[in-house]
Amino acid sequence: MMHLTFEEISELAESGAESRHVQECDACRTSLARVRRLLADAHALPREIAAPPEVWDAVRARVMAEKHVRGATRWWHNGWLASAAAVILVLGTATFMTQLSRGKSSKAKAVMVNPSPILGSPALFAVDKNYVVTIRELRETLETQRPNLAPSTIQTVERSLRVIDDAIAEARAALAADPANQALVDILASHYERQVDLLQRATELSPSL
Amino acid sequence: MTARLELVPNDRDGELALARRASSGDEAAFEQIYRAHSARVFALCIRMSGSRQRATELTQDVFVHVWERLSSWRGESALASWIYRLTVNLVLSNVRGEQRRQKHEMADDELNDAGQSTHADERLATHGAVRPASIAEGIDLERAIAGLPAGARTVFVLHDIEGYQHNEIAEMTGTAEGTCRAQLHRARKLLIEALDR
Repeated sequence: MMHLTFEEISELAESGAESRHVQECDACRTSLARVRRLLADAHALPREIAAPPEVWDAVRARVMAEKHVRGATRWWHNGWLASAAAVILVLGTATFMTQLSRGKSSKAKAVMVNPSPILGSPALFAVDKNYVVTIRELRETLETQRPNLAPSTIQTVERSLRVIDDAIAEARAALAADPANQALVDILASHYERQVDLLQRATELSPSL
Repeated sequence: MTARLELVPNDRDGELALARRASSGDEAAFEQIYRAHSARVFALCIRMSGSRQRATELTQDVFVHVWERLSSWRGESALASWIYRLTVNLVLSNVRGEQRRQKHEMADDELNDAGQSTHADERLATHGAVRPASIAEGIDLERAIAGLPAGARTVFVLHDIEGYQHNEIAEMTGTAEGTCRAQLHRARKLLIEALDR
């Protein structure tokens, strides 16, 4: 009697079909039973095996590293925006400081602290709108008080304003590159708050200081 | 503190919400996805690679890929299916790379012989999640699967354990459907011989 090949028996086991030959041939029936037992055992194997705890730690570390690299890459790709914002704000601050020291009229300063139009986005516009006018007015007030302030006080205020201007420039560039990022909106707003706070304190300083 | 979304079968909206949170940087949401799927991914990686050590590395790779590509998942299929498909593709890619590398080191027959005992012993030490009633059979079968040649092991795991169809396996492995069937028959034959010893 010709026996079925293993491939034929394997196909029979998979399909669940029977054949007349298998019913009549002990050897092929035994082979078929073995294959069916194998398939049943394979189906019964656990579908889940707990991964070692260190796997999550490693995944988390790699994701954090990826985030860092991506952040750096985004800055690299949008470097021109960051540069443009930095240049505009540095120029604005420098001009302001120059005018502050020369005691020029306050009209020109309204231009220098305006946000850069090339970085315009709805989120950026909304944040700027809340602070720019206030900051401009505070700067004008500070300028009028300048002759009454001690040189060391002026130096301290100027240095602090430069630091905050840099931070604002960074936040504005990042927000221009990622306008939907609420965290960046919050960061930019917090920098503006710091600037408003500093200017308010400076304008309230006693002339004796 | 963000609310925890419960994953229930067929809760596509819940999965989408969770995936959106994870892809926008919510670590807790991403960890929830990891906790829900890592055991199945790890099992798949162990069986397809035949090595617990490689499975550990592959599982890491899978979830880093999941994190990177989660924003591209639109809910057309279940999140689980998407993750397992990604797992299979990544493991296959890794296995192919490994095979290319090893071809320079030894002949195919030597490769299969050399891989069997090492992988099988390693596998034997790894499994603790087998059903109590069939621990011995389960371990024997796991060890035998680990000892299969890579091509046969891949098709057996995907078809007879994971339930993929031949046409799906052919697409994933980039081989003809007939080749898949031949590999499956070969795997079953080798396994029966190994278990009968």
